Amino acid sequence: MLKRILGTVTFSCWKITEMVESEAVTKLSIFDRIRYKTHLGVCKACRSYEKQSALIGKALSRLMSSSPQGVKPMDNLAKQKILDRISKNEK
Amino acid sequence: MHADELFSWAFHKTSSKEIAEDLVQETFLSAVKGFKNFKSSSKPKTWLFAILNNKIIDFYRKRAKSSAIGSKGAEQNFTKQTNSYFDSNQNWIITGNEIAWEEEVHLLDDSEFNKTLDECVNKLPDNWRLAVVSKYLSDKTTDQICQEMSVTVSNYWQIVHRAKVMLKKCIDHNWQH
Repeated sequence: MLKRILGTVTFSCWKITEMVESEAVTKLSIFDRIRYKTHLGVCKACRSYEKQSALIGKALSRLMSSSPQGVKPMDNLAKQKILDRISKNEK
Repeated sequence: MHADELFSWAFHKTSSKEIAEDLVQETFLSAVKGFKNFKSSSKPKTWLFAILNNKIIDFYRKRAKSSAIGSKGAEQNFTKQTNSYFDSNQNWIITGNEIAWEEEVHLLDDSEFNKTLDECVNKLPDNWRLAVVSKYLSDKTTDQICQEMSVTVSNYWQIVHRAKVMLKKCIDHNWQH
């Protein structure tokens, strides 16, 4: 019941998780910002999601930019193929 | 020169030896072709990695496109699944199985956590994975990514939103700490 009232007065959890993602939060009107903050104030699940979403973002950025541990050597045959292609292209 | 490092990276991102070899080959060919665009102020390695990252995104994009028909079904299933985490008023359904992992900053260095996240990303439908990979792997603007994915900006954010909800739930279920 409380959640339903909350959804009407503030936003639904779905909407909040969407807003967390799209950085739309920065463009909210003051009224909507109050609605947003009120929701987070009373909704533990969304508070948790907000932090988890940021953490996932940070972890993904790291995961995507960090080199894998230990270098896996490429087959010599594959390397030779590249050299062949390059020299063929240069001719 | 740098072939092993490039290969390791491509293999790490695609989990396929053959695809990684092809991508490294294309990277070197593009590098030779575009050598005049190379600015001596940047390191050759950085430049080669930038080319490779674009090739990796291209690879995901092509795959997302070629499996568009098959992945439509997968996307629908995942959309249904993300919806199922919310009730009819679009609020979270609390199951009691949620684990608190939001406070733990050290998670970023936790290899088990990163492995779980990596596996969860790989489970996403192609188009969702493409959106997430493009967002975090490249320095492209949202507009550029949308253009390449042939989706509108609002559509793109919807995909990223759903993908993130899915990743959260996937970690909830699969990560044991």
